[in-house]
Amino acid sequence: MTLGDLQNLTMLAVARLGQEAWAAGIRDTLAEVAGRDVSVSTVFVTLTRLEDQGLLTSERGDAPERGGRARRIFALTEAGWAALRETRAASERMWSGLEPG
Amino acid sequence: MSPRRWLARILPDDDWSREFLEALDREAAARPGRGARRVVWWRAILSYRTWQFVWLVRRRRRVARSEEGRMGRGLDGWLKDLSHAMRVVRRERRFTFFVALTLALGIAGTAAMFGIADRLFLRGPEHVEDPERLVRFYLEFEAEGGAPARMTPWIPWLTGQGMAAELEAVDGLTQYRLQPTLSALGDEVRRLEVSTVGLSYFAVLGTTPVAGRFFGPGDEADRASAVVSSELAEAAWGGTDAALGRTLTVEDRSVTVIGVAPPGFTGPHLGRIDAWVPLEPDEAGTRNWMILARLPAHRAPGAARPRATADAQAIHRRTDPGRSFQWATEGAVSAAPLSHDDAGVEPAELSVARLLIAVVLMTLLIAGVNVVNLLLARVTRRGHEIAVRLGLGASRGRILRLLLTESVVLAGVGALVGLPILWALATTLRRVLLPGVAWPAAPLAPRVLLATLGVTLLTGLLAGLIPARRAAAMDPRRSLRSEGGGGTTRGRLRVHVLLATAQVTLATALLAGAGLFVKSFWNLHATDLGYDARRVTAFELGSLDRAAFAGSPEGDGPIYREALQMVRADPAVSGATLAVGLPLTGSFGLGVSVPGLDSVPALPGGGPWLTAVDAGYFATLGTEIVAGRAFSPAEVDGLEQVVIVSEAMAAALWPPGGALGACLHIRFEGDPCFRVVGVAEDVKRAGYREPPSMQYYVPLGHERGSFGGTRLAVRTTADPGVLDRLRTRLVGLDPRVDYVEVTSLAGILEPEIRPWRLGAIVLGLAAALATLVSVLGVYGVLSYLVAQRRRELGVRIALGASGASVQGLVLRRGAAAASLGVAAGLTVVALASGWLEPLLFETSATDPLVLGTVAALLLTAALAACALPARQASRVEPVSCLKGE
Repeated sequence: MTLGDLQNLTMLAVARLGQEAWAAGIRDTLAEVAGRDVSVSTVFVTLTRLEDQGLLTSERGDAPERGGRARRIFALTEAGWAALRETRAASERMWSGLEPG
Repeated sequence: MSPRRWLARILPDDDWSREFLEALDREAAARPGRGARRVVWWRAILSYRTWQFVWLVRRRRRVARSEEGRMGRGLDGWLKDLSHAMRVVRRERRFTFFVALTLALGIAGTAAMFGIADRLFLRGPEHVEDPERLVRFYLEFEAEGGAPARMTPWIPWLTGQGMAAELEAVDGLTQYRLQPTLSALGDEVRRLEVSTVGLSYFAVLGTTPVAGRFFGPGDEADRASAVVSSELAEAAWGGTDAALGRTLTVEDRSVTVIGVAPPGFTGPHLGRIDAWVPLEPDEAGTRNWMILARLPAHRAPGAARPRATADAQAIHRRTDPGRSFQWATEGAVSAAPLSHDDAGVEPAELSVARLLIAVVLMTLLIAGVNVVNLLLARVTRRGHEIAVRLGLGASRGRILRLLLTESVVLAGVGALVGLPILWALATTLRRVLLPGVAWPAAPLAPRVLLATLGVTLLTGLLAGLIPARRAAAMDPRRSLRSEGGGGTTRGRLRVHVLLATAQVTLATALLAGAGLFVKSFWNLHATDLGYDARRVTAFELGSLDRAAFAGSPEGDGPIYREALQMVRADPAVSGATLAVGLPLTGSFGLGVSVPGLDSVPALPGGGPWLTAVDAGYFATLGTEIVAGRAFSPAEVDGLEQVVIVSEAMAAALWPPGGALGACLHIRFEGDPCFRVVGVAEDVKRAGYREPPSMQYYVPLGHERGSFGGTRLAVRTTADPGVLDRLRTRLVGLDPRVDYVEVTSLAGILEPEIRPWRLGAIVLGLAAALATLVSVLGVYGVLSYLVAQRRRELGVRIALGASGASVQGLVLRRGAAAASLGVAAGLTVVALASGWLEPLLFETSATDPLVLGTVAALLLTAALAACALPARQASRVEPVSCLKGE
């Protein structure tokens, strides 16, 4: 399956963040790296959906600071990686021939 | 309400939703100024994405729940519940023991009675198709002299023939008789139960043979064929096929076996039958027959019966006049279900069996209520565990299922424990209550086991329902706070008290029933029969040749006299006599008249009944001569016409003291005058419940007309071998004697006593059990109450209440519940009295002595059960219980 634009970017953010892929961090990454300023609700909806689709898993991580609450850390599943690769391949196939080199 | 709190309320209570709210919190916190922060929240609430998130997380929760539900519902979840229940049952051994034992008794009793009810009411006779559509016809007639109307199943031949030809309201009709017959099977002479039946008999019953064929056209004419039971075929010839073509003798003639009935087949009734022979056409119409008919299938039996009755009555009116006795001509024909006895009413065994079914169901109910109370108390004890389960996310449905599985498993353990009890109970009940009924199925037949399973599941589910619902409705937070001890509100306590009261109610009703039956049984035993039935045995000499004793003009007189001499020589015989019309073996009604009296008044017991006796009769039977004297040997041998009358007869026919020396005309030929020489005490000729009747005695040999039925009555001392010895000697007495029938009078009376004895025993046992269980129930509830109110009691004592006043508080509570239960139980008995009284013998259903004793007994027992909890209550240490707070 191929992913929607925001889904694709969110998954990539999860992949980039590794052990620190919690919701707020993902939102910051989307803003800083991709330049996409999305609302809190949008990030949470996207993550929830991707998890329901089996592309992401999550578990409760350790609290980031003393007294802070534990956060949910996301990771890509096998299906998630496959979907990312498929999306990239589709994108490259579409690009091929448009730009020389 | 602030937007944040509002959103928090809509979202489910989990960490992912909390993280969402915290992310919004952080975003808001980053904004300068209170207004800007609020804008963040308002934007979130107005955003479509937020609502999408709410929907998604809620859906997640729903899916998670239903997945858990599926897990619980599937076989896997069910097995999990089951293994959990088994663990709990094994862990709590004492609890399991009590619950299982209580249920075992209830379940075993119910299943045993189901087995009996199944045979008696549900299934009817074996191998009979739709027995509820079969009816037997009766003739209701006015007895001579205005005595109450009586019913007889014996209907004149011609009426039966007319009905067979013309009755359109039925699908088939047949005439039949039952008669014990002596039969030679090889070298052995046996007494066989033979039924003489119309050709359509087996077709009307809907039975098919297991070997050979049933009767067809032609069998009636030559009367040389017979159908035998599978049991006789096995016993006599070693198999059903081997029986075909064999011969046996029935009433002087030799018949050939043409077919074998299926195993357990007993015809339309429940007693054993060995063989069936085709009836002989009775052109003279002198004999009476029983008539069996099948009601048409397209109408309900209750609706079809009146029509059949009306049509049959019309046919009887048209056919009978002038043909048979006047009483029969004037009688009314009616149809009744197959289960009714020869008197046209439901037999006492059936009524008592029905009562016993009600009794065991009540016992099961009491046991069930007790288990409900035990389970309820346990739910409170296990409050903590259940709260933890709920807290860990188990759904309430899951908890409900878990506890129901537990109670069903407990019931299952009860059923397993109950199986041996069931077997013992069923075997005993069959032997003791219904020995006359043939039982083709084993006590633990599949149908009974199936019923046991049903009762077990139902009991488990019903007993577990209230406790499981309460557990599922538990508030985990409250329960965890109070560490399982709390959560008991006044309303919940009230349920416990109410259940204990209900137990006392049922126990009272059962105990009262048992008391009434014991009193009936007692009254029955105390009934003066007018003779000593316990030690008198009747001997009847039988011959295969019906004309064997006809050679001499005195019939069987000489051979019986010879037998009498022989029997008297035995040292274990303390008295012996001959009689025609011995009580319990047959009654001969013969009219009398008295000079100066226009008509002889009728007594409710019918009669007057004639007995011809020899000189030793009254001494042997133990019948007292209250005035005058017994017959002398000279009178028995001589020609003088003397008579002895019963007290009731003397009182009915003559002024007080005027009987002796009076003349009684007996309706022998010529109406001879017999002089009254003695008055004997009244005798119950047919059984305990017989109303008073007139009886008179003439010397043996002075009776005229065809009576037959001579019996040798022997009074023996307690020598166990004497009856067999006498029988052997009597068989060897004369070559014409093929068979000697030995009947103890007590044995004849036995079936009449049996229902009461059984009722007294079963009700007594059930009542004892019920009393024990309900007293334990009261004890349990009060202990529970004291435990729950420890704090309150502690405060009372701390404030200066005396131990006695605290004890009084608990005792009053217990006494109130017990009195209410007893009062309700007595009310139940009073309401059921109309239904109960016909089952009792000379005992009122509201007998004050019985009911008073029962009430006193139960109240005492209940108060004794309250004493221990009351003492505990008075010893509550205020300090220790307040410290626990």
